[in-house]
Amino acid sequence: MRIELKNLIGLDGNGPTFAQTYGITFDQGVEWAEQGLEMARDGRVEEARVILEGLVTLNPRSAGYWFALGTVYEKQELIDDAVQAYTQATSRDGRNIEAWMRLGLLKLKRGDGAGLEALRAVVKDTRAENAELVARAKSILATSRAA
Amino acid sequence: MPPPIADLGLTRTNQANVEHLNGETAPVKPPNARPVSEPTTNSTQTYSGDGNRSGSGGVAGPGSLQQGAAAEQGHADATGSTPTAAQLEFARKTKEREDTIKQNASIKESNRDLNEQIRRAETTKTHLSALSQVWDLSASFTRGELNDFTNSATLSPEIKAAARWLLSQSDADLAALGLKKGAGGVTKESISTALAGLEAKLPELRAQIRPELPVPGEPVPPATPTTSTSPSTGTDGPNAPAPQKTPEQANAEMYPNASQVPPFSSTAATGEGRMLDASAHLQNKLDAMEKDLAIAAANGNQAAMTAISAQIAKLQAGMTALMQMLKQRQEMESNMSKMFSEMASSAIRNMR
Repeated sequence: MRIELKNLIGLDGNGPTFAQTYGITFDQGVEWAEQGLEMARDGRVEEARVILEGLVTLNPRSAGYWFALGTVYEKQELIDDAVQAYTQATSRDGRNIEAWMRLGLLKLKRGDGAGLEALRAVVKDTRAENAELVARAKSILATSRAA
Repeated sequence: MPPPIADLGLTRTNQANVEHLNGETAPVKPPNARPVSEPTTNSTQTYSGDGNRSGSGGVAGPGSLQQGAAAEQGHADATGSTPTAAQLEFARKTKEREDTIKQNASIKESNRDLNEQIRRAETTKTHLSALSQVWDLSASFTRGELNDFTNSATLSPEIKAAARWLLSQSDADLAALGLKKGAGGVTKESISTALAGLEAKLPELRAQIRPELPVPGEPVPPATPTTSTSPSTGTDGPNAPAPQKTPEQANAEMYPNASQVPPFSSTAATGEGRMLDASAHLQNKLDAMEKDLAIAAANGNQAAMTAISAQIAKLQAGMTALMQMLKQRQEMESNMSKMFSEMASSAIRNMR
């Protein structure tokens, strides 16, 4: 059974997360998420989706889980869901520039000019390790201005 | 078709990923990376892909979930123990404070934009009002006329400034203000129309300015004793206001059954074991909530019914997702053990 994404988004309230209630630690969550992503790399994308949706259910406050889930949705070509998942990731951690980048590119692919806004968020990043992503975003923005 | 996974290079331990999982700043690590199709055993390989680290439609690399130093918000602590009521209250207050600060930042930004728009509209209004005081029989202000105004010895400084301002406006500026240029210059009719428009717009803009929200004080971590529960508040006596219900009391009233479900406890050492125990706990909670819903319905308490139904829907969605995940993991483990047992049988056969 497919879980509706809006139900997952609605799980984040003021109370404890399922992960807190049921004593699931960060390490445990990361281990499961890595297994899920490994499945996706092996082509078992549907199984990976189930695992990552479960993890988002456990802790909907984690930008990392939303980002990972977004990549799996993208792989499944569930573009609307991927956009929503990346939006969740960026709203929970504005410094997650990989999520901003993917969000921007997906929106632009759909013809949504708001994608440029997401790329502008990438360009603002000053961390050296993100220089490659920043350069790519800059070049896309420059192309869009020239067009 | 999604691009082949081999094309995707994702950082293995990059800072952004560490941070987005932690929600906090973690120590900076070098951006080692590898294409995702390579074996996971070599963590020191450097990404040499075609620059498509993100946005290629591939899944996040394993390194994107490598943990940083700090525990992520929303998880249990490292011991796996469930949080105390005081810790939860602290977490709730912290989140509430952070949300308010975020909201205030957005209010501040929006107010800044609005104030800038108001400032521009005020300037335009002042100049247009000044020009509208100039009465003559012509239908428009020509460039020559405006130049004369700026040099006039008799006109007021306001009108001179307005004339200078109007002369400095480009055609695009004039169009944006709704000022029309006729053959003889900017028409006076369009000036009075634009003025009326500005007079209507200004109060609207001012009404959109929002006050910032009061930021709650920084909550005290649970380890520090607080004095807020002190009974001697000076409010006792016959005229004392009715005591406010604590969240626990309100909860117990709305959920007479669900609030009686004991807090989750599990002796399981593994995450899987905890999740299995959790499924039973979740089911108990759901059963109790169904009873609470029936009570609220019998009392005709519409608000409680709505709140309880929403909680039930939320728990059901969560339970479904968690059960599916658990099932998936169990299948995965069963396949793994089947694979190992086949490998063992094969090795034994080969030894013979």
